[in-house]
Amino acid sequence: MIRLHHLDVRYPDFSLGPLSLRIGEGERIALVGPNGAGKSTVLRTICGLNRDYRGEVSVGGEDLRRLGPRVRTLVGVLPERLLGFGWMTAADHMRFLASFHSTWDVAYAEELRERLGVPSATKLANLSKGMQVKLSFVSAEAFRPRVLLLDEPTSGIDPVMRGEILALIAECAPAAGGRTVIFSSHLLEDVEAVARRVLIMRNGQLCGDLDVGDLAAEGDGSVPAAIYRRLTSD
Amino acid sequence: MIDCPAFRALLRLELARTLPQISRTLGLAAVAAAALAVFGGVTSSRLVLLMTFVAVSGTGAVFQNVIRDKLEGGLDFLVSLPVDRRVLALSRAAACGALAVPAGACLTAAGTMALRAANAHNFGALTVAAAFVLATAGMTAVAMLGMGLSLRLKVSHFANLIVVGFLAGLGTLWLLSHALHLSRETLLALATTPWFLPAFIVAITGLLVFAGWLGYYLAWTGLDRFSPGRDQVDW
Repeated sequence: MIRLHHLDVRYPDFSLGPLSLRIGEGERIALVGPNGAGKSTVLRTICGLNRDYRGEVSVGGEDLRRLGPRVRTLVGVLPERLLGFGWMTAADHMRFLASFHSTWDVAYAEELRERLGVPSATKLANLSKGMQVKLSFVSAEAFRPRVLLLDEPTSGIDPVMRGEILALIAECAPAAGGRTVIFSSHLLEDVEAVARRVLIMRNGQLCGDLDVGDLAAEGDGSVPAAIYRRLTSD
Repeated sequence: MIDCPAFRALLRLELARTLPQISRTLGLAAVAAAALAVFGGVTSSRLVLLMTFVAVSGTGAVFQNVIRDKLEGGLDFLVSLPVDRRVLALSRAAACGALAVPAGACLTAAGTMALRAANAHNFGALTVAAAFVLATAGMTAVAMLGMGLSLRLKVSHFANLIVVGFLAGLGTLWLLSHALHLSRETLLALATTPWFLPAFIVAITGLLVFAGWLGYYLAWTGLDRFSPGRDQVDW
């Protein structure tokens, strides 16, 4: 589904890679690592927002450079903060987004919005952080993309909302396959709850690509403990 | 290349957020014109100056939206849409054109009245239409240039642009007010030379086409090189 081959990103203050990786259809992957490890850069590159890279990236078997902005009809993105215009209401925002996706399912979007309790008439600028995350989730999921990229979907929100978001992620990506989900998180309990495979990143390098089962064995039954150990070891 | 529903949605977005600004400016101009009328100070040159202010404010709204987008993250949102950045630039260009219509109409009306008052020309319908097209196209070109420049500029450069824009605005106003005081004889002598009209139309059309194209090019390349999340706006 997604292939990174010698992905190399250079900024004046940060560099990533070279990084090679294959992600199959229906996988649920967690990207973990400290701040500045390169998690968001990987996600931004996969959804075509970072075009300043070397190496090869393909999504759905097609080269990302050839796909261009079309990649975002295959990939739904939940960014670190809600992207939109503060003066638009949630309903306006969803209607606007629907114009860009031929597969946007109005009924499904409405069902998700109601289920998550996002008020339709409230302006984006007036939504709480939790509501913004929920609306981002609805926007990323409503056109049923083949890949969901979630950049720290549960950071800064209360435990109840966090539980709802995690349940939704699990529901949208059944273990039997289909939807590919890649999410980054600092919350290791979330990783254990959602992911089947964990990619550990440090200083722009991939320093671990492990199955959750192997991590559980390594941490004497505790996935967070094993990840923490790997993140803090030299 | 153009994805129609996406283009229409982007165009509606640009119009929806700029129309209130244009309406406010037109409202202010109407109040100012009414005040001039009440206090007996309506002169053709003042009217032209007022309408020039309306037109310039209209293009300023386009400029202001780009800066706001940069500061509030709207640009990050727009470039994250599954649409070619050329379509984004085109929709903004089309919005500039649509928004320039009322400004062009105001300028044409004020200009016509001023020239009639000065008895310099007997304005026919065709001349009025031509003036309207030129004024609208001019406003569009200016708005496009403003948009293109503001997309490329960091906010720290914005301060320089304000100074330059302010000086350019003052210069334009000075030229306009002095052009109105040109003697009738000079105007007629110029206008009656056989080369004047074709040369004027060719020069103005060429200038507008070039300015419009340059504005579109700057807007497109400005959007094209924008990298969300990395291009932080600095003060």
